[in-house]
Parts: sequence; structure tokens; C-alpha cells
Amino acid sequence: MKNRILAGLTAIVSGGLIALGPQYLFKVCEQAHHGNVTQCFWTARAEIGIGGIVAAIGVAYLLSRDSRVRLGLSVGLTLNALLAFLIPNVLIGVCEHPHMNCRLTTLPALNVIGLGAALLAVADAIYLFRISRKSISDNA
Amino acid sequence: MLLELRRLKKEYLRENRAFVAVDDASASLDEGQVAFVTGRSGSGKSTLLNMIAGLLKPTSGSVVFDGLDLSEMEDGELSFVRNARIGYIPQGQSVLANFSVLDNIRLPFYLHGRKGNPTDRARHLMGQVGILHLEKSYPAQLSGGELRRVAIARSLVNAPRLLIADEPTGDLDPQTTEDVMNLFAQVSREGVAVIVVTHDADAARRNGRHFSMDAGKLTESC
Amino acid sequence: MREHTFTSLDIALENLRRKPFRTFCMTAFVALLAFVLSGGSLLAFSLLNGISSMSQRLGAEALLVPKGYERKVEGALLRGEPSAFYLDGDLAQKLMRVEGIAQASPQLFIATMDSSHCAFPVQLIGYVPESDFVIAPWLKKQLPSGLRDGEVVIGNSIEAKPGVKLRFFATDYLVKAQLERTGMGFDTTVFFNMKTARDTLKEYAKYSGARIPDLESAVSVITVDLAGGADPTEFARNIRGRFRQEGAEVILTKSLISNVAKGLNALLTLIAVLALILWALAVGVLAILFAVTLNERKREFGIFRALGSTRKKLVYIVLSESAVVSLGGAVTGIALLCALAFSFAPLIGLTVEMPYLQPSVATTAFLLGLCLAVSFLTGALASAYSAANIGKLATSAILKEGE
Repeated sequence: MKNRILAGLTAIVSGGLIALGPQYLFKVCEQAHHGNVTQCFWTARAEIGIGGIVAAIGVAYLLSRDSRVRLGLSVGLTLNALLAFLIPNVLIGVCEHPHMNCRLTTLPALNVIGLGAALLAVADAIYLFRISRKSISDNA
Repeated sequence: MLLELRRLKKEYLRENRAFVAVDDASASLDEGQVAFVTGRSGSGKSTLLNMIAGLLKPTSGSVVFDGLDLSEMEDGELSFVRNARIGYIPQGQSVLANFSVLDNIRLPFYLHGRKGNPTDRARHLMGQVGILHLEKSYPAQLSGGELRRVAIARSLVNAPRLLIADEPTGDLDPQTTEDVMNLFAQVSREGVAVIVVTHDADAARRNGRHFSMDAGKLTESC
Repeated sequence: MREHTFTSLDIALENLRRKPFRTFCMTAFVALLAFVLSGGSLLAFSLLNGISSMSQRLGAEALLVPKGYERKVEGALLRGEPSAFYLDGDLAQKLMRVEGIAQASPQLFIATMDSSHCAFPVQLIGYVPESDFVIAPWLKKQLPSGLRDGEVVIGNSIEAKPGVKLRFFATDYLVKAQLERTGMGFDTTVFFNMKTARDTLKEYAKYSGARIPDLESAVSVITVDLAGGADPTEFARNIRGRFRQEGAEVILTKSLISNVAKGLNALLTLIAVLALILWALAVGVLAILFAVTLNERKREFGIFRALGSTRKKLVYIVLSESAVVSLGGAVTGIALLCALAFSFAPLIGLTVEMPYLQPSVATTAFLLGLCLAVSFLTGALASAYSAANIGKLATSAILKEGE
């Protein structure tokens, strides 16, 4: 019961951070020196979408009473959180210079949030899986 | 003879003055006997019970239980005797809040690392005291009478030879009191000696031996 | 159904599981302690490592620089803040002939306005392989053949691999080697030989429009080693007296390092004091927490006694509870710290504005292991007094009449 609220809220908060953090909190680099748009700009764009999905899954998680539905949502959450991690690291990337803003703040922040959320979601999924198996065997 | 108290005495220091809680108490009890001990608060009843259970060392005198002099024994042996051969129901609510009913009842079996599975015996006892349906419940969900039954079932799980109950009916309604007292009578018929400390006004009419305590003195009334 | 065995540990775990809030608070407190202890010690070690790397890498006794640019030189060396400043060639020649100098070698600093990557400046340094005694010995390990024209060696933080080409201004340069991490400005520096640097400087002047008085022979810094017996302070006074008018200044690396060390010492003292205060606070608070909760729970333990628990078993139960809480807290705190410290290491390094070099994996593991042990033992220590008394407390709780 309390676990549901806690896990749902965690997903919503991390989704919000993934989406909005690169825009406002741990900003990517200033753009438009010479009109070239950097990689970190696109990473930040992509994270808006992924963070939005993570937060939306969190809302759905909060609202669903059936633990097996939540199990499905947790799996989705895990994959999306991993995607949030992969975007700046592999799929799109950030600027190359080590002292650029996006490298100093955005990348590590997304790493911690993305991997942290994925880990929590995996743990939750395992927990829900065990519960659902138990309730099935109890009914049988 | 299962239990013999020999000139048992316990002194405390209270505000630097010696206070005699139990004064020269002697008595004996056989298998299958029920003994009721009555007396006012502070008359030394609980101190007496705690010495019998080996929780408290007497100042002088001795408790001989099942051929063993409890006052001579170390904590380890004494705890084992208490665990294996004495069922003790402490005063007040004594069911452990962190464990389910079944686990509460099974707990004494495991305290000294026994091998085996007490679950069947625990269920049998729960059936006897009428709480089989509460197996998975936690103490917070139980009524006073149900809790007392859990404590009784728990005290019997290791098949003790002596059952000690400290005011087991203090906070129970008359009907539940009657049920609990009947359970003790039933236990005694199976050969277990039972000592009940009680405020119960009806104790006098119950079958068994009757003792009273007053300012540390133990006397048997006929 | 799962088979119970009810060892002391099982009982302890059940107690903890059924009191989640209490368990959470105690775990969180130990986690905080572990976090601060490991964070503080990791920071301290990284800074110490940084300063030792710095005194190793600054292998010159003195630097001769343009007057007024002392702080810029420090910024470039310590923090990799790109800068450009110049002594003209004639002055440089005169400076290198001052008595007391055993060896001297010029370096040329160029700040790029942008590399071909993200818009961010990089420090370029040109040196003279034949006379250099600061950078060359260090490069030799990675690059025994030396640096030819058009080739560069890059600092550890620059994202490129040997074999690729980097473009500065309008020219591509072949990366020959990458240096090990120093924790200083060198990590974001690109090294050329002097001839290549000279060409780059001309391009720089062309693109930036910067007015550099003497493109053909200007240098930025002269690294100097003094002859045996020459007093650095005397040497510095001599240079200042004779060349200040012409625009030269001396930086003695010893005093540069000792200035950093002074700041570092203050910081380390602060860290140590804070850690000590927190540790004492943790022992106190945890001890009180254990004592209070056990006092509340003495009846519970009294019941265990009545059921036939030995005193020893009660002690084991209490110690098991505190051990589980302490271990859980210590592991959580350190895991959290690792996640943050390792991800944000570059940001931390820049923020402290001192040479910051995280210790080797083995040292770090040892350090974290030590913090784990200290946090764990702190929890256990805090519960020791309560645990030792639980037998007595429990018995007296069950003895009380009329409760």
C-alpha cells in the first residue's frame, strides 16, 4: 500500500528530473555560438520525452490497484529509465570537452537518476513478481 | 514431589533499607496439582513466582524442581530448564507484538536450538485453546482473551511439567476468566502441576490447593 | 510455508521488519555517517593526491612570467584555465642568461577560442624538447621518439585517442600520445613542440586579431632550475630588481605549492573536525536511540526471559539488530556516495579549485572499506552498552509487580 505510493512518487519525481533537469536544473551547454547546435542540446530534447513517459508511468502506477498491472508498469519503467541513461552516454551523447557544462553536470546527473530509477524499478518488479506468484499459488 | 520450596527468602534494598519480599516460604507441589496463590498487591506473589521460575535468585533457601536445585544453577542451565520444563505466563499482555500468533507459540521451541518442527504441536494447542483460526494474525489484531489463550498455548508448546501463571485473568471478563481457568484444570488433568497467582474472588471455590500471601509470608488455607 | 528456525538473527530481522519506521531512522542515521566519513576521506585523499602530483609535475624551481600575469599562470597550471600572455623574445633571451640559472627552457601558451568540438577553449602549450626539463622527462615514458612537427600530446581529460587528428584554427594535428591523469591544468592541455606552436600562434593571431608584439620569438613562461647553492629568494629578488621595469616577474614553485598546501591544510582540518564531530554525535545519538528503544522494549525482552531465553541470547538478539542496521546503513551510505562522487568527480575537482586527483582503485577500495568498518563498528559500539544491560533490564521488567 505505502510501497505503491512511494514507488509511484519516486517514478514521477525522477521522470520530472529527467525531463526538466537538463533544461533548468543541471543545464546543458549554452547554444548558438556559431549556429552549430551541439549534441547535448538534442540529448536534452530527447530526455524531455523520456522523462515525460517515466512520469506518466509513475502516475499510472499510483492509480493502479492490481499488483500485476503494476508489475508490467515497473518493467516499462525500468526500460525507460535505462533509455534515459543511454541517450547521453551512447545514443546521442554530450559535448566532448571535459569542462563543458553538460559533461560536468547534465551527464552525471542523468547517469545517477537514470540508473538509480532503473535499479529501484527492477527491485520493485522483483518484489511485485514474487507477490503475484505467491497470490496465484495461494489461490490454487 | 515435583516442586519443593525450602525456607525461601528474598530481601531487597529499598531506599537503603532492607525489605523482605518473601519471608521463609516453604511448600511443595505434586504432578497434576493446581495451586492458587492469592494476596494483596505487593505481598510478594510475583517475587515468589519469579524465584520458582528461576528468574530471580533467592537470598536464602532453595527451590527444588524435578530433582534440581534451581538456586545452584547457572543462567544457561537455568534458562534451559525454564524453557523445557516450566511454562511461564507473565503478568499482563505477554504476546510478542512482532511475531504472528503461530510464531509466538512456536518461539519457545526454537530458543535453545532444538531440531524438529513444532508446527503440528502448535496447531494442536491452538485448537485446544480455540484460536486455530488466528494462526496468521498479529497480536495487535487480537482481543485480551485471545491474547491470553495465545500465551497459554505458548507456555505449553515444550510440554512443561509445571505451569506458572501470574494473574492470568486480571483483565478478563467473567466468561473468559471461566474459560481460562477451565483450560488450567484441563492441563492439570494431563499431569502438569499448575500455579496460578490470582486476584480472582472466585478462586476460593475452585478445585485445588489454596495459598495466601501476606507481607511475604506464605500460608496454605484448607 | 517457509520454514522458520528462529536463530537470534531471525528474531532480530523479524523485529526490524515489523518496525519499519524505527529501522529506517536508525539505518538512515548510520548511512549519513558512512556517507560523510567516506565522502570526507575521499575528498581529503584526492586533494592530497592532487598536491603530490602537482609537486611532482612542476619540476622547475622557478617560473619567469610576464609581470601582472602571475595569477593567470597559476590558473593555467592548477586548473587548466586557458590563457595567453607573452614576454618578448629579447627579454626572454636576457632572462635566460641571468646568473644562478642552471637550466632554462621557454614555453609558449596559446588559448584556443574554439576547438573543432564543442565551443570551449583548450590550453595549448609549446615547449622546446631539446632544453625542456619539466615536461619532456614525463612525456618520454609515453613517447620515447619525441614530438615531431605537427604532432601533439594530449592531457588525460581531452577526448581523443592517439592516432586521430585534432584541428586547431585551420590546421590538423596528429595525436601521438595521451598523458596520465594529473589532477591539474595539464589534464586539459595539448602539448606541441616549439616550432609547431610558433605556427599555431601565428594562426591564432590571425584568427583572433590579438596583438602579439613579437610573433617570431615571444614566449609565455621560462621554466628555470637554479644552480646548486643559488638561493631562490635571492634569485627572485635579483630578477625583480633588474627586470621588473621590462615586465618580468618570478614565481617560485615552492611557494606556489606551499600556498596551495596551506589552503589544503585548512580544508583538511575542517574535514577532519567535521568528521570527528559527526562521529561523536553519531555514537551519542545512536547510543541514546538504542538505550531508549531498548528501555521501551525491556518488557518484550522480559518475555523472552520468561520463555527461557538465556541472557546471552538476548545480547545476541540486540547485537544482531544493531549489526543489521549498521551494516545496511553503512553500505547504503557508501553506495550513495560512490554513485555521486564518481559521477560528479570532474565537477568536484573544478569546484574545489585545487589539484584534485582521485586515488587509485585499490586505495579507494581500501578507504571505502575502512569507512564501512568504522560506520559499522560505530553502530555496534553504540548498542554495546544497551546490549550488555539488556539481561538485567529484561529480568527487572518482568519482575515488577502490579504493572
